[in-house]
Amino acid sequence: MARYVYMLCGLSLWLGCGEGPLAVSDTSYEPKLVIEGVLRPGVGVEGIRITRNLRVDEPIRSSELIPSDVRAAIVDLSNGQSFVLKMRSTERVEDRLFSYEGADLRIVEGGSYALSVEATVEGQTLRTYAVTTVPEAGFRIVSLSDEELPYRPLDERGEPMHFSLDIARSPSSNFYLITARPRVATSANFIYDNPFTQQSRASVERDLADFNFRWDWIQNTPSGPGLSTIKLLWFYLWFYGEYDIVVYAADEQYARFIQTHDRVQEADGNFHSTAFSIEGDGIGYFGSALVDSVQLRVLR
Amino acid sequence: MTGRLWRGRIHSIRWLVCLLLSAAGTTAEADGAGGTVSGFVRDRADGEVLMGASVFIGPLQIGTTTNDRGYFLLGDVPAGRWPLTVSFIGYQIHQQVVELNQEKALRLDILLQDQIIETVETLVRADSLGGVGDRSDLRISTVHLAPRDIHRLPQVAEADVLRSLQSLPGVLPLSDFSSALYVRGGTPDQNLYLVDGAEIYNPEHALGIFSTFNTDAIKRVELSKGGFGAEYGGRLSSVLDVVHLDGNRRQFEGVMAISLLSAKSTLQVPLGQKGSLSGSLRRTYFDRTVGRWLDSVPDYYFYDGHLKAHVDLGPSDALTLSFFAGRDVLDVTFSGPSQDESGYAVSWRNQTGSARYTHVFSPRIFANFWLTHSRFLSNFAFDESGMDERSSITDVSLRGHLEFFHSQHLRVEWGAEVKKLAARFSQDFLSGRIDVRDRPLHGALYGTIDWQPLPGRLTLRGGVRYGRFAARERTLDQVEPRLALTYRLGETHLIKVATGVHTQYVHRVPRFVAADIWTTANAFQRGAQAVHYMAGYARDVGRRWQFEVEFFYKDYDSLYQFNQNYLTEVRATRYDELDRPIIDTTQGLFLPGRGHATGVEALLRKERGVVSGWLGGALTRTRYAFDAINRGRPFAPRHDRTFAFNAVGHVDMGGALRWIRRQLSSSGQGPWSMGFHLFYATGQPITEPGSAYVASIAPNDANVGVFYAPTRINGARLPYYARLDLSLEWRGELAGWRVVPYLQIFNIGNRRNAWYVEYDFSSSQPKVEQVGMFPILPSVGLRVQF
Repeated sequence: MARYVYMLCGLSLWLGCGEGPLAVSDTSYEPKLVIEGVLRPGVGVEGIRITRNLRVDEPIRSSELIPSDVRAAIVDLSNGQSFVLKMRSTERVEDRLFSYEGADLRIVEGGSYALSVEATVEGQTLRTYAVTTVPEAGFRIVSLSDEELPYRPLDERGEPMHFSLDIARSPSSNFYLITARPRVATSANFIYDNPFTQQSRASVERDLADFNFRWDWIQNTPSGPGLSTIKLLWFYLWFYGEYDIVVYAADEQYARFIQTHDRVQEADGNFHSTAFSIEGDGIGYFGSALVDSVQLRVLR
Repeated sequence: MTGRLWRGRIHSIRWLVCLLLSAAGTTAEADGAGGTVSGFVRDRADGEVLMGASVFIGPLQIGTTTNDRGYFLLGDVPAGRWPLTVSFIGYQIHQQVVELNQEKALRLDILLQDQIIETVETLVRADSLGGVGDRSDLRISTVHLAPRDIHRLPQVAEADVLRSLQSLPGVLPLSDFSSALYVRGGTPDQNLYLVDGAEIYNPEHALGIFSTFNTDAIKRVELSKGGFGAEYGGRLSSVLDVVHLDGNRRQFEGVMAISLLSAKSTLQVPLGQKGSLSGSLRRTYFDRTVGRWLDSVPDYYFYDGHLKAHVDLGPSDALTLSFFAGRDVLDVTFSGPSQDESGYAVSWRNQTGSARYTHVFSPRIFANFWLTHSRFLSNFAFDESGMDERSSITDVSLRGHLEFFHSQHLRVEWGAEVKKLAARFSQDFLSGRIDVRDRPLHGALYGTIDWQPLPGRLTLRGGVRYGRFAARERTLDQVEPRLALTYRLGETHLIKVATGVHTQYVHRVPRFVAADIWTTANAFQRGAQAVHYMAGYARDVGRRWQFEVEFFYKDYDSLYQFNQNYLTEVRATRYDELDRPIIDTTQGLFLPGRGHATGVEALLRKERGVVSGWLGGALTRTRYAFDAINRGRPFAPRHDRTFAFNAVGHVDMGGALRWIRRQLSSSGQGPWSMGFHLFYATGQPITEPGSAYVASIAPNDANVGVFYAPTRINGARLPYYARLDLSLEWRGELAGWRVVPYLQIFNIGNRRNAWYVEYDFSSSQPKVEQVGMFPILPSVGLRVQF
């Protein structure tokens, strides 16, 4: 009997100490083409980025992001005409974007377009296909509540006042992405005296990318024309000075990506899938949007 | 509310009452040819009724056990003088002669004397559980935990019911931060939690260290892991039935306890000669200690308490009133340097109340009627974003349950239940509003036959439950057959099989810190359904050990899981005057799927002796399949653990020393005792990130972020989980009070068990970091009984 007791004690101590081995590995890797593209009327087909995904145990090197033998084309679904995209050749990988520079392709409100891409990744030929229908015309920013405000002013009830935008809706979009980008974003004009987080000059410089482009959205707005209001919360404004506020009236495909791409980790740390709207071997987004912008200023 | 609805409701209640009473009336005439001996069995010391006590007449070879109100009936007893024996483990055997002549119905009130047998060989207490040979009511997949067992288990800070149950085979925790029960592949929302008959919806306090049940106030904990009878409905996996102390009917009695996290007290007092009163109160003071000293620790506290009164209205009538309330408050202030503070506050509370009326219509007909009310509310306010969220579920139920003792070998139970539910979730935010309200009516009828076709050998318990769930735009009808067989192979071993259909009409949106949100079946989600199949074998091994092994298979249909990408699916149904969307349905909130769980569990339990405890192991495989998850391929849910093993023990140190010194003739329990709990389990499934990709989210976004694209849901597993907990306690007396100081050490090996994995791409070489759960957590406490 005593022997079993000792064995159980030994087993308990052996099991109940230490830490399990954990390595960077991922057995579920599948090579994919990564699409980033938003068609905008008046802008045409430009800024479409086609990259590839990487294993999580590999360092991310810009040079390895571009797949080889990329063939990409936009098809105007109103007439079936196909337009081959060309990649701009630059030093910076981030700037190697695909575009169509011809005058015979116009992106119009209400039009439907398809993107087809074929490329080689790790010796495999990958194909992907996505369709977007551009929201109908009608969207614009109608008014901005204040062109400038001091940081987080309080109203007579002690509640913070916000910048607020009234927008005229597109009849066929019920998702509006609002982005805030300061014209100058440095540790010198960072708003340190905020109620949300304690930051030092060094931490701001380290995490500048986290602060200098912020975004939010409203969704489920009514179909059809009309006015909606977007409030710009102070979480999204981290610097004193001028901001470019750009609002996108997005189609459903682009909206699905925005809604889910950075919410893949649950409260218990586990992952789930993003809602991609791309068929075949692709991830990312291919959508369309109407765009309008406005400027505002946060005063010291 | 319209008059038509009210009329419908009144009609339903009237129909229920008529049905129950007419059935009682017809069967009241069905007395058998012999006489009856019936009555209640109670503890002499405090008057608490004793459930499961054996009552038998040896020469006639007839016997029975007491029900959950301590009531028994022996039928078909011929006229004459007969020796009646009443036994219950931990009590002195009670013997008396009963005489039946002219009087065909003899009523007794039997008091058993507590008996603690202490020798090196055995230690038997009032709340010990007997083995196969001692008990005739061994139901499949049913486990009882005595308060003593719960107190003996080393835990975080103090004893807890749910955490204790997690040490049983087939019952798993999700993490150290959750006391929620995952029973045989099921999720916590599939468990029916009953407190004195009232359903409780979120029985956990924040961070899972405590459940809402105060261990000192508990009389009985029964967990049915599957195959439960037709009297229970509305859940797919298990039933946890917690009964608070009725209260000491003889004298004032109290317990006070204090630990590093909370202080609590439980008091019991007699109500004249007619009844008793018990009450408890508990509050954590984390917010007043650590929370006050450290700004980074959020202010969090909870309090809960219960009050229960039991009154005998007459020899055949009793009334029990029970109330429970608890509230959690979490207040988080962001750490920014500005004088102008910002933060959020979360609070939630449970309130239950139940009135139970017990009536003995005739010696053969025993009835219970409940009126219960349960309400769960939560509130989340985040002023900065203008968000104000409220969630509630209210349950008002009227239930009747009758037992008819037809003969010694046939008992019939039947009953009915009407339940009115009101679930509401509202969230106001700057750009819209969610306001989902469901007010369904649930009615159920059930009947069960407990029949011994081969007396002493084969027991058959068959039943059927019919339920109707009338919700907005959808009415669901369901017939749920249940069947359980027990075949006694000999005095000390038996086999058990069971099957049953179970339906659930409420669904849950799980959350981590804040309390879960409940919705009901409606136009967008049906009821979920599971079919259980199980078989088991139980036997006594020697005089002190009991062994059980059970196999189970559970088949899920219409399983509903929260849709993590619900934002893409929700649809506005109307708009306010500012054209802001109002969402008032649960469309897109859940994903329908299927699943199954299969496994084998073994439990070796020792209730008596210097060393007591159990060894439990389970091999389980759970798989879900949802069209919208994992591309439709089956996957293991997060709570699936292939293998789990528990070794739980309590050692009487004095007895152990005597055993070592071979002083076998000595007796008496020493003041020192030690507890241990080893838990080992296969690592949980996790979803790997799949791959990383870089992207900017808009054409004017100059930054690129790193995002993940998981492809295989829960396709990998974390390292195994293991933990060893120890406790040490001393029992003594101080000024006539029993004093028990204790030390608990959770995770004494300080093993860093993995909770999840973080991937970091900020440096050139990707890093993976394991986010660990609780490290070693020593704590001390003191219990005082008077």
